[in-house]
Formats: sequence, C-alpha cells, structure tokens
Amino acid sequence: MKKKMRTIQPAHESDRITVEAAMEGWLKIQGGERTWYVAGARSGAGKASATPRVEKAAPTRAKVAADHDKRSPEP
Amino acid sequence: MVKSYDNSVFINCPFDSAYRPLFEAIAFAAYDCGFYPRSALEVDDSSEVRIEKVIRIIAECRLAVHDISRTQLDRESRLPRFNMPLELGIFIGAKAFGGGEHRRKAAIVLDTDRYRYQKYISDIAGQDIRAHGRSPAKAIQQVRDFLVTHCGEGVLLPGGAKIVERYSVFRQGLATMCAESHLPPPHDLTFRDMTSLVVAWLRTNPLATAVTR
Repeated sequence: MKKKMRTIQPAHESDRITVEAAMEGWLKIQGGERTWYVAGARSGAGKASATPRVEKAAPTRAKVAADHDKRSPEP
Repeated sequence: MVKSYDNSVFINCPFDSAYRPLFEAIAFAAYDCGFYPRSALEVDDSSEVRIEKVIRIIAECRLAVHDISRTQLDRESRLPRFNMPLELGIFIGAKAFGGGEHRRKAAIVLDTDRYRYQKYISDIAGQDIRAHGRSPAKAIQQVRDFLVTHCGEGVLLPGGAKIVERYSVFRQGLATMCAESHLPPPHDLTFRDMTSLVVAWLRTNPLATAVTR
C-alpha cells in the first residue's frame, strides 16, 4: 500500500500576521472595546480623567493611527 | 510612526532571560512616548558582522538607553560581560567624533544603583547615571523622564505611572494574544514579534492627546 505523504504548506502571504491583524486580535481580547487613555491628568486633580475611558463605538482605523502619530496638540 | 534619526532610540542592554522583563518594559516605554526603539536583535542576519550591525544602528539613532547593570561574573567562565560598556563607548565616540547630526546624540545610562558604576567604570564619573533597581516600573519611569526632554517644545508625555499602568494592561493580555496569533508564549517571543504586538496594542489603546476642562 502506498504511504500517504504529508507536507507542511508554507504560510501564504495573506496568512501572515500584520500589525493591522494584531490590532483586530487585541480588540477581540478586549471584548471589542477600544480603550482611550487620557494623558496629562494630574494626581489629585482631575482624577476621573486618569481612569481609562472605554468607548463601545470604535473609531476608524485611520483615526486611531492618526491619533497615535499625533501626540502633541497643535498650539 | 515613521522611523527617523531623531526618534530612534538604541537600546543597549543584556539579552538574557533574567533581564528580559526590563528590556521589554524599556522598549514599551519608548514606543509609548512616541519613539522607535532599536536593538541589535531587530534583524537576524548571519551575514552581517555583529559589531558592524551595532555600529550601523548607533549611527541611525540620535538617542540611546544604555544599561550597564550586568556586572555579575558568568557562572562557568567567571568573567563579566563587557558588551554593554563597549557599546556605550561606541555611542560616546560617535557623538564626540562623528560630527554633523551625531553631535546631537543623547543618552541615559542605567544601573541598578546610582553610584555603583564609580567602582567599575570610573571614566564616566560625573555623568548623571540613573538607577532602576532591577524594577521594570522604575526603568519605565527613568526612560520616560529621559525621553520627555527630547520630545521638542510644547509636547507633554503621560507620566511614568500612567505608562506603567498601560504596560501592565498590555502584559495582562499578551499570553492570550500570542496564543490567538499562533505565536510562541511571551517569554519566547522575538524582539520583532514583541514590538509588532506592542505597536498593535498602542494603536488599539491610544493616548488621547488633550484634556480641557
């Protein structure tokens, strides 16, 4: 009887994990909720703003990337 | 974030498993402060001589985090590891002799205790060495306080405590994320895999930039 050979197929390019795919993974782990951390909250004052704010309605991917890249507000 | 000379931070530290929690915390802090951590581990290329790779990365980085805390003797050879002091020396040499943009180089030097270095590398006595006490949280605080001085005018970074909090949240989900992504467990991740997951997490959990009340 001819023995069946098994080969391991290399991952197709579309199967590779990209940062975008990893972002979806993080969202899945977080229950589909995107967390916005508020910077600049001083201890004591504005304590509520130091707490992570959870938004159910996720902003677009482009907005997330733009917000991440643009840390410093325009004067 | 686009990688550039100005926002690249060379991380010069031990690569052993005992140091790994500090290494990963420092890399996360650099990313969270809006910088781009670089390491000799970022590319696996056996055709490139290691010291040449280190020199190339130092040339491409304006900033650096040097950890010279690993002074223990190797259990078998009974000799210390000199790579970190050597790479610190290359960085200082690049700043002194490199000319041009290399004159703008800046670095933070970390050790476990603040004045311990005077006993084994006294040539850098007089420089401001920072202590992390082998604590990832303290290392994050020190790296943040260093990087905030190189952000440019008018830029506010979150405090070290906030970055530590964010790093803690990131770590809590990391093992699940590795399993979901068919990656090895966190302690076996390569530098490249780890930084990709950090970037994805930061994009998913961004810092809001302005608070006006």
